[in-house]
Amino acid sequence: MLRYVIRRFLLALLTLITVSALAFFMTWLSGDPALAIAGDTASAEDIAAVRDHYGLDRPIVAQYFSWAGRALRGDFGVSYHFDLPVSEMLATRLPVTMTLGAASILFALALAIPLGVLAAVYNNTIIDRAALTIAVLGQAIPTFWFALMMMILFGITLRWLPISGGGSWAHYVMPTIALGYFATPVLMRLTRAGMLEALESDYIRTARAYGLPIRSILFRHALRNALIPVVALAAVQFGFMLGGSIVIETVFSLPGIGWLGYDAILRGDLPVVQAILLVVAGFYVILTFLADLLNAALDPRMRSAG
Amino acid sequence: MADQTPAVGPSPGRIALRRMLAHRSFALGVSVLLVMTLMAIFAPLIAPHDPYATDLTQRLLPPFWHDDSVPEHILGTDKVGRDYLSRLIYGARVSLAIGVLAVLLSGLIGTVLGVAAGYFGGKVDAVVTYLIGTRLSLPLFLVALAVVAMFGSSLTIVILVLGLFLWDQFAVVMRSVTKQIRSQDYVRAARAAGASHMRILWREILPNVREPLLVVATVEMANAIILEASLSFLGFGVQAPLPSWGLMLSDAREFMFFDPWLLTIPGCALFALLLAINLTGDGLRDVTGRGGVLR
Repeated sequence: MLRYVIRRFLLALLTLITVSALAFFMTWLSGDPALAIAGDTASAEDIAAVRDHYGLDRPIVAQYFSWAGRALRGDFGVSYHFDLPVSEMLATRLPVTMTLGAASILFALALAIPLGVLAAVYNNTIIDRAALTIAVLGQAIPTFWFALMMMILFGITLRWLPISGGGSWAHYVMPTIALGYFATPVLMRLTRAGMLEALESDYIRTARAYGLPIRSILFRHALRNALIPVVALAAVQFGFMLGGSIVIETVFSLPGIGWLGYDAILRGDLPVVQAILLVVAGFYVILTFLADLLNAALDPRMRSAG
Repeated sequence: MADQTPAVGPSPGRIALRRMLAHRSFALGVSVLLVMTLMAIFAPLIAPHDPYATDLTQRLLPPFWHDDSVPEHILGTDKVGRDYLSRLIYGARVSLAIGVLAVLLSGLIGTVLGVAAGYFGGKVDAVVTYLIGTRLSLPLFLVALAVVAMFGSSLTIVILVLGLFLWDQFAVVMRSVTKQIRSQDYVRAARAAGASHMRILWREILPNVREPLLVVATVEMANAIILEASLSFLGFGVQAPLPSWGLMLSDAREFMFFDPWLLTIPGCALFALLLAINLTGDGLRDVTGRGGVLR
């Protein structure tokens, strides 16, 4: 197990280094940053001054190392457009996206686990098929279109919920449903598959043979085992959501890092784009690392395979 | 004993076909997909109007279920008076072209990487695992937006970006399937008989990964189509005035208060196409009984 953990950790570290390099060089490919900072109307002297001020005349590899070193300490530079430290901008925007992501994944789990359990317990009945239909529809609805349809219904026709901004909990309801519903199908399918497997396993048969109450068998034994991979997948999904909430945040004008990222790309605000890329990738790498450890701890084959 | 005569039963292909047609949701998915494909191919013959022809005297005409609709424009017209039905029909071309071409590219990349990792194992496997992990940790949508912002938005760029990014599931699934096949007796026999790696990969491995490959292809095709629509919706996809459902939704947004049908119509078309692709994929998975795709 320890060997597996160490190897997996090194892989996560290598991945992060690669992503940081990609983030750095990708934004460099997009053109001369000095020109982007100085603006279209800047004179040649202005551009030269900017280049000097931001250290843009040094070798690119040296620039990468100093950038990565500062990023490790939480310093992502200064936004070209707002002239504010990027870390400050992230600090105000990140909680919004985290709240949205956490609420969405909880919504997805709250929907997926009961449906998955029902579908497994009533395997091949109308309940199973109904749960599957919900999953199939969820996978086919484009998130942003679903969001707009909700806006028309709940925001405009019924006037129950606000359609833009992020001031109160009510602003999160529709974005949460839109983002969470999309993650529900896979979680439901995994719960169903895990429950089916657990219900057919020897230890559940033994428990049944001993005459344990069915409720206790389902919830204390079968569900507990079926849920671990579901939780692991939910962690990964949460990582996807932090990067995938761009469209939803933009549609609802929810001031998280997704909307910030979209705005920054529109304006060519490189330091902001780099920082978001790095933060989202960092979260994802950490979450998948933890999810893999969780799955490995569960699976004896993986432990010995190292 | 009378049953001893060698039974000339239906061929495996025919059995599979029969099972597929018996699978109702699969049959439904394939039919819708087929109709949409035909619609896309024969768009110039079917579309009642030129999808690019504007008519400023005929702007924002409502569709047929409204009282003041006009029979020449069954689904109404958009904000510059273009026939909505014609744009919808032509829009299927963009979605399907992006779905098919992006998946061909990503499927090629993912299959090569996944099969190589599963077959050779060891260092090759380690490198591919690292590539998959790195690709997955990049927030796809943000990167796609950034790349399109850099290179300009066009159909080709969108296809390339999606094709170069959506290979991860192909690699994951092909890797695990190939690993299973590699230890089968017929592969060992081929190796013992002195067959080269290339020959084994081509003759023994590839024919046996076809079914899970198709299942992943449907999932990723749906994915590519959603992503194009989302990118176009945000103005980073294909260029106007190309009729794309994502662009139609984008244009419709400013009228969502008074003319919500502008959003409903292309959204339903997109939803129907994605549903058809997913039903086809789910059906394939059921019928072939393989391809445990996890997303």
